[in-house]
Amino acid sequence: MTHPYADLPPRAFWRSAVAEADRLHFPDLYHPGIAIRPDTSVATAGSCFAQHIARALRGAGCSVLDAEPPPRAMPADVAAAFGYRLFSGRYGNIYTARQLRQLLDEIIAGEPDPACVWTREDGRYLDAFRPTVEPEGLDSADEVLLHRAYHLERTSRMLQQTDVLIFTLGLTEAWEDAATGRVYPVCPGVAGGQFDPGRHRFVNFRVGQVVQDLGHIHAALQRFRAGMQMLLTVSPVPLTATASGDHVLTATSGSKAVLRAAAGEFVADTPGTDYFPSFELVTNPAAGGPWFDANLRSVSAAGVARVMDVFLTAQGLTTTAPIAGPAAGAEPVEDEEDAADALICDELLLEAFRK
Amino acid sequence: MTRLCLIGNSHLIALQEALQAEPARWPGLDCTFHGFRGRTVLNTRVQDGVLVPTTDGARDQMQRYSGQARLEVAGQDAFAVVGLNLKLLHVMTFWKDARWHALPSIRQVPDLAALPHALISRMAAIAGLAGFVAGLTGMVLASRLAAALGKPVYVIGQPRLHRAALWGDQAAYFGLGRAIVNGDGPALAAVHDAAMHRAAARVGAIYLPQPGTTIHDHLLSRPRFMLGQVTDPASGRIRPDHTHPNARFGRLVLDQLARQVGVAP
Repeated sequence: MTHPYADLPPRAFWRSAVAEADRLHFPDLYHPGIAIRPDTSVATAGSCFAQHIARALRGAGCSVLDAEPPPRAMPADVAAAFGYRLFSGRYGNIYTARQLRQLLDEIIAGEPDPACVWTREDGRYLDAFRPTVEPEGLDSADEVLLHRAYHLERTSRMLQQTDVLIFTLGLTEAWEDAATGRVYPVCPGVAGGQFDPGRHRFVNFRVGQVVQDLGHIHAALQRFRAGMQMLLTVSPVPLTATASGDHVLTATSGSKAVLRAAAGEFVADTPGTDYFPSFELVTNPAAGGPWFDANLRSVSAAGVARVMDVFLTAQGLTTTAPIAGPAAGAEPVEDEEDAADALICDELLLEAFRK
Repeated sequence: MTRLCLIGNSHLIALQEALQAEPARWPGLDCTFHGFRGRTVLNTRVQDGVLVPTTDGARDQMQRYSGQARLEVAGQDAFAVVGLNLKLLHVMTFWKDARWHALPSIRQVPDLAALPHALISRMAAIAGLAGFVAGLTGMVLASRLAAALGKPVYVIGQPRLHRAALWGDQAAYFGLGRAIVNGDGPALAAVHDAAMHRAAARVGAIYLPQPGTTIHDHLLSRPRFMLGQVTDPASGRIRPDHTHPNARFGRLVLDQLARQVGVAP
């Protein structure tokens, strides 16, 4: 007797693919539908977990685009604090599909939204759509608009060179401006701006809305570069807080389920897209672990390394640099006195301080 | 009487010469000078109130310049870290790569996104430069002294280059002339000072900016406060020196220090 399951490969069966498999490396878990080679121009965006992807790909020698590189002398920790080298654009965390959709729409429109200016309690100014990239704020509203226009244009030029965008979906919850419909990455009043209950409205996107936003994003990306492919992941990082009224654990499960379902639906219906199971590799009990730090929220360095190892191995890429460490950046290389001055300095010192 | 220990590189000499020229001008200061070259001073550590070398090279330099390989520092009331690669040219390194809103030059740029430089915020420039100088010899030494001894530590950078350096290779490399002509000088100098203040404060030290009367066009030093020329020890020839200050400069810096420790002349 024959049936559809008779000829399925071992990866289709729990016992051979999970229970009896090498669950550290999961060699058959991810079959890339989008090939990434060292010369593939990759852009990354998404929630904070997306930072690990960019770092790992750079470590593997891949070409990860950077629309706004920092000055070379800026130390890596300062650069990261100011939003440099975390993603391919200095857009900060893009937690929701709606956020990315709106960013692309704004880039295509070519003008920064003047509503992007927030003020802080200390009188300094922020870009409401990426409030964390300037931790000390900007000097004026004009400067916010200048930087945003620059950011949009540089991101546009970066996307025009992109072969593959890797987008990590993080949240379904967001706060939107009721008048404009624009969502913010952070609730107004938290990192800047003022919360106005009559204007700022909580939204919790559903599967259909996320799928629709992903479709809009995919179409917009084709305007920057025809044929651009899109690789989706879902962040395994739980919600820090929920405004849904549910317990944060329940809300996390709900959000991640929505994102996972939306990614699956979108990829199934859209050629040139793929899904990488970073969410499953961290959160599924079969994946071992725990892969979280003591706060049960941050993915541990070992967890990140493990996820990225599965990804890179499946892509045929080899890690050439530590992937769990801090972002590589400019080390302060001290320039000594000019060589021509060295002898003079020595003689001056000797003359002055000879004991 | 405040016992002040001054540690630095060849830029320390101007202060020592000022003191030798007018020994009675600072009756409230009891100064001790210790010279080091390059990064060698980092190969030392404070152990039981004594600065001791951790490498043969450091021991050699201490012996050579101070006549002893152990420097008593516990009995000092305050410290001054002088020179040791803390200089304005580092902000020019940032300027070669980046522009920010306060710089007049970017107002003339029609397409900012096409700039070969990064457009960064002024605060990012300050934070980045402060982070950079925190790793330089002078600031690392200041950090160690402040942590080990709990006494005031003053940080004094090298002076800006001699005005005549504007026509030399070094100034051209760092774009000093272009920065002055297009009006960026004041903003660059402000970022330099802000970053130095921040880096020093972060390690528990106090930065003393270059005395205003010695500064020309924001980015250079007035010739009358600089050596201008030195004798090349190898050839015996006189050659230009655009880097080192003279005793007149040293006098102003000692005045600054005396004011800081409350024994102004």
